[in-house]
Amino acid sequence: MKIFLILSILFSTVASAGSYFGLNYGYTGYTSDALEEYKVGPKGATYGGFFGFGKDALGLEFIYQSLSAKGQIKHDGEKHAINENATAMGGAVRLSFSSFYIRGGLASYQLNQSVDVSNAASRATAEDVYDIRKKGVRQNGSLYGGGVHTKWGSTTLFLDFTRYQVGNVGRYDAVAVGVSFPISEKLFNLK
Amino acid sequence: MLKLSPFLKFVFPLMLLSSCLLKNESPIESSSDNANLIQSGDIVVANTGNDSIILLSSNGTYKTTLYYEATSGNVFNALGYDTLNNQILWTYDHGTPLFDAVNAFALYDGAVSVVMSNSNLQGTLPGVARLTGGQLSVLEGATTLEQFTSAGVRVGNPLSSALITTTVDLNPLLTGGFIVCSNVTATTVRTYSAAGVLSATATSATPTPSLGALTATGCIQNASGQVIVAYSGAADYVRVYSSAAMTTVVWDFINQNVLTSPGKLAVRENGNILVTDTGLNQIVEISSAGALVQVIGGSVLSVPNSILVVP
Repeated sequence: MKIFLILSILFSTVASAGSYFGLNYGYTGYTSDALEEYKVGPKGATYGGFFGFGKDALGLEFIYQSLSAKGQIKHDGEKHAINENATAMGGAVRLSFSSFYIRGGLASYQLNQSVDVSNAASRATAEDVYDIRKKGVRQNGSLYGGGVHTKWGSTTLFLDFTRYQVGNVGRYDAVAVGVSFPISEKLFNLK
Repeated sequence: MLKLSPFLKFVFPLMLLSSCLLKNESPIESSSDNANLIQSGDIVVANTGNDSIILLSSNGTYKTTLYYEATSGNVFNALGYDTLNNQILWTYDHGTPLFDAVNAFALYDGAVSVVMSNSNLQGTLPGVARLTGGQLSVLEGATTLEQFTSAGVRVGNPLSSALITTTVDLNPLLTGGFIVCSNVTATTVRTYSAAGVLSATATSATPTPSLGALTATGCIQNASGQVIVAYSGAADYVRVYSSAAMTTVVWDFINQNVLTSPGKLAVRENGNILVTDTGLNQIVEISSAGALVQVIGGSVLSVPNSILVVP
């Protein structure tokens, strides 16, 4: 209830101000307790976008982010691929300063994790050992991070570092570059 | 105050953050044994006395009951290890012959699955083995061997219907064939190629030294190629032959204090031999040199016949 109240106040504060959207693309790595135990570090690409409302230094953003990481495990004497994919949808509050920003919020993650082990019995145990959450599993979590940004005409270029914390399952750390654009107020002016 | 150019403002954090993400280490190997209910070295025993298949840890202590048959007339006769799918094979002789099958326990949780159900597979099934070539071989009745390819296709009609008289045990050979033994005193132990061609024959009397006219209860080959046979009758022995040719005896074990009704055999990774005693309800462990090591599993066994050490 408190979170809803805070978000409502923030939204009402910034809704009347300018809006913007952005896109990013970068590099991500996934880790969890099980992966750390076996020194497995899946890595891959991340891309996404956000839509935000902002006033002065404060912004409220709705975020979509795709996270794909692939690595290698050694199980029962053979090497196999491990896939740790997720999509995040969430909301975050952004505080912007002259050359950097920080942001944090909540997210819902749709997970799609697997190990490419052909033998069914061995795969079942590998899934257990590496705490695999199969396709379709949802998990609530958070996201937080920051970055540096600079103006380039009316657009903003940024370098972002965000941790996507998938509840107690694991986390993605992502470095991405991106660009955001202001949305003209005329777009919403129906007169 | 230090002022960074816009280029450096991006590059420095990027280098710093990427160095954390790019950290690369070689993965540590994991093993199914970390998670499996049935682990390497564990002992599986089929009790024909109380119709149960139980799992013992490597030191012989009880872990769990993998299967209990409540219906009278449904029995299981043999255990084997499926190297193709890493599971424990067991034959299921149902009261309704059409339901006879080769089943399996998953190592992960002991879940039961059907490996082979075929209308030609009917009757007592005293032996099952996954050969090194992937074929599934099943003893059927007194003299028949059914064989199926790794894809489940029946070989022959059957592969052989005149193996040996009254078969009691079947195990794979390292060379791809199999060994069969019987509870008669003539042509007691035989080795075959995977195609069912006879390779060698032995009895308790030949090769020498003769143990007298005994029947076999179990036969198996160890990792170094030696053939081990349990003989029963006027006296009870475990005999080791030097090879699958069975022309030379390495040693004989006899101890009437611990082994009076030998059943089937299994071999531990260290080469020690386990033989069940169906009368004393225990497992006798013999070293690879033929000395008594210990007796295990006594309190939870009930006419233990088949035995398997999980590789």
